[in-house]
Amino acid sequence: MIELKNLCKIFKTGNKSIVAAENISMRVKEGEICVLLGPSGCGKTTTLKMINKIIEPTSGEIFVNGKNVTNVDNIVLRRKIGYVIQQIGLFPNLTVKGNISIVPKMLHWDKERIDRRAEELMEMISLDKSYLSMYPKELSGGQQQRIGVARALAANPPVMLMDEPFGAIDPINREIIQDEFLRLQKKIKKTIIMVSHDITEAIKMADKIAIFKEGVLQQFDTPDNILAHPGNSFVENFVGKDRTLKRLNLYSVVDVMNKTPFIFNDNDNVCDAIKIMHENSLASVFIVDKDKKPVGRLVLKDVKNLKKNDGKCINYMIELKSMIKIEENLRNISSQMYLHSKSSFVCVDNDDKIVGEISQDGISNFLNATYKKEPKGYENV
Amino acid sequence: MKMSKYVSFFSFIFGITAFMYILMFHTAIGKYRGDVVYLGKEHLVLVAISSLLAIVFGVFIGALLSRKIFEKHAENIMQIFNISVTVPTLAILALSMSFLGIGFLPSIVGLFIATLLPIIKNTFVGLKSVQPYILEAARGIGMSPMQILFKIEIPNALYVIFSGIRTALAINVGTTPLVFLIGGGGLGDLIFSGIDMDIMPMLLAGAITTGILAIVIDKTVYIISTLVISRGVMPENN
Ligand SMILES: Nc1ncnc2c1ncn2[C@@H]1O[C@H](COP(=O)(O)OP(=O)(O)O)[C@@H](O)[C@H]1O
Ligand SMILES: [Mg+2]
Repeated sequence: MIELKNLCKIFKTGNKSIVAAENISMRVKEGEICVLLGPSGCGKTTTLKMINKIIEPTSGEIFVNGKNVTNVDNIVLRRKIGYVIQQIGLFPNLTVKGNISIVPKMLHWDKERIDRRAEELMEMISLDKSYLSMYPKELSGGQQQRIGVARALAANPPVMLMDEPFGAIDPINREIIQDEFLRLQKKIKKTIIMVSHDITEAIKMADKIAIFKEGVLQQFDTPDNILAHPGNSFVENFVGKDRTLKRLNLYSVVDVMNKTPFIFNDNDNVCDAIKIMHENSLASVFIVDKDKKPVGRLVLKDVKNLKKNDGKCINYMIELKSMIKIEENLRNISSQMYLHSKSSFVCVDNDDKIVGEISQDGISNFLNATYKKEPKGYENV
Repeated sequence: MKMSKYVSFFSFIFGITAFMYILMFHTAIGKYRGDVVYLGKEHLVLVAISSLLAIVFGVFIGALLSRKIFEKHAENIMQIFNISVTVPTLAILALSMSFLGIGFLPSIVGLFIATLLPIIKNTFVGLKSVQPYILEAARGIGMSPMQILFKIEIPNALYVIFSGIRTALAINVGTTPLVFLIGGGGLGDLIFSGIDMDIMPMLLAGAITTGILAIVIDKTVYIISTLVISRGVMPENN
């Protein structure tokens, strides 16, 4: 756990003084990723560097796992905090292995353990072992950045500080690394403070976002609350006019889908289906085969004039063109809804069995739920 | 890569040896063989002691000046050093003699001072040119100031430090014949006596041997540098 209490930093250069951090208080829980977000120069890096005492605070207190950092020796403190700097900062004179083994070496691990750890780390960051003997200048920016993260993780510190760790990578590879890192974090569950100036990255990575402006913490909340309820006009402008669409990134199909849709077997009598649709005022129902795999959609207006004993559902249904996996995020689903002009999709699990249905109305209702608790007194919405 | 370096070094040594052999056994210079060996040893001792001292002190002083406590004054001190490089080495020897008299000691001291400056300068510049963010990364992962100096700063500055050492040794080897003038001995004896007495082979015996020593020393230091400097900090095409 990391706690900042009334943290201030004033830089004095010549006769000018710059307030880089003003009275910042926040608390990051164990195992959470907190993203410090804001435009360049707003004090993110300064705030981060005060935590591992690279920068000394002008006033205020910092607690890492309950201990006031001012009472902990710099070197002891830093070896328990993984640190990824903005400029990556790999040591040019050392190989990849030298770089990622440097902290374990300082902690006097034996050679075998260091070797094992180096290989483990390479696996974590999805780089081949053959890179271990290369030098930083022989690597691409993205590879260097991965090594930077591996170096910080090397001695398995409970806390990580990361300053724009994915900044030097092109957008496509950045997404890949972000996804990898999130998968890794699920396993290693570090307490992480990460700096970013990119709202999309923050939404994707963060459990909590801290938005800064000119050294002042504007809002500290979950990504969804920041997007749904920006605390002031600065935050609102910073998150962008499309903030509701951004919220779609935060959820996947499984969070929103109707888990008990009306379904019929392909062999069921079509008139039974019509009756149920009338009773529940449904426009359509899904048809599944004997393995619970969706095969079609029966639309009421196509069949409402049929009489009894007119056959099986399979003869009247429209074949399904697309099915949605439940781990897809809502933004992609909405995009497909517009692309195919569909208002609902059938959702399947990894065995292609039906598990639910997602509809535009369902998404709208889900997103709207939070606005009903909108705090009063804030008019600009 | 490494293998071919050794091969080229050994063929170089072989060539030099063959050249010296022909010179010493098949030309008029051969007459001074005994002098060349005796004075050559003296010469090497002068070079070795003065330059080793200069390397140790030069790197130490350069590293010291690059520390934070000297931040304010280091540039000014380096400026003084830069100016003193323009003082002719003969004048340095003369000064050394006027304080310490003649003989071995003033010769060593004079050579030491003439050799020192490029080493201090390059050590200072090399250490200062290590990017600040690399040092921050080192601090950030919990390295002590000494660990940072020896494991990060010096290894990354080694290429620049070594080029200072090579310059310094070139100056040293070039100046060493002059210490004969202040009673230091060495191959300068053959050169200056050869000039005085107008004996060409004698002069050549001193001059050629001095030249060859200079080349061998430079090549050796270069080979050492390629072994010591990490591939990660070598400039491209090297
Ligand atoms: N060492 C320093 N000396 C003086 N001013 C500084 C120093 N470091 C940062 N600042 C100033 O503090 C403010 C915040 O900087 P920083 O924390 O690096 O911003 P960010 O990381 O959000 O881009 C900026 O105005 C910057 O110019
Ligand atoms: Mg920054």
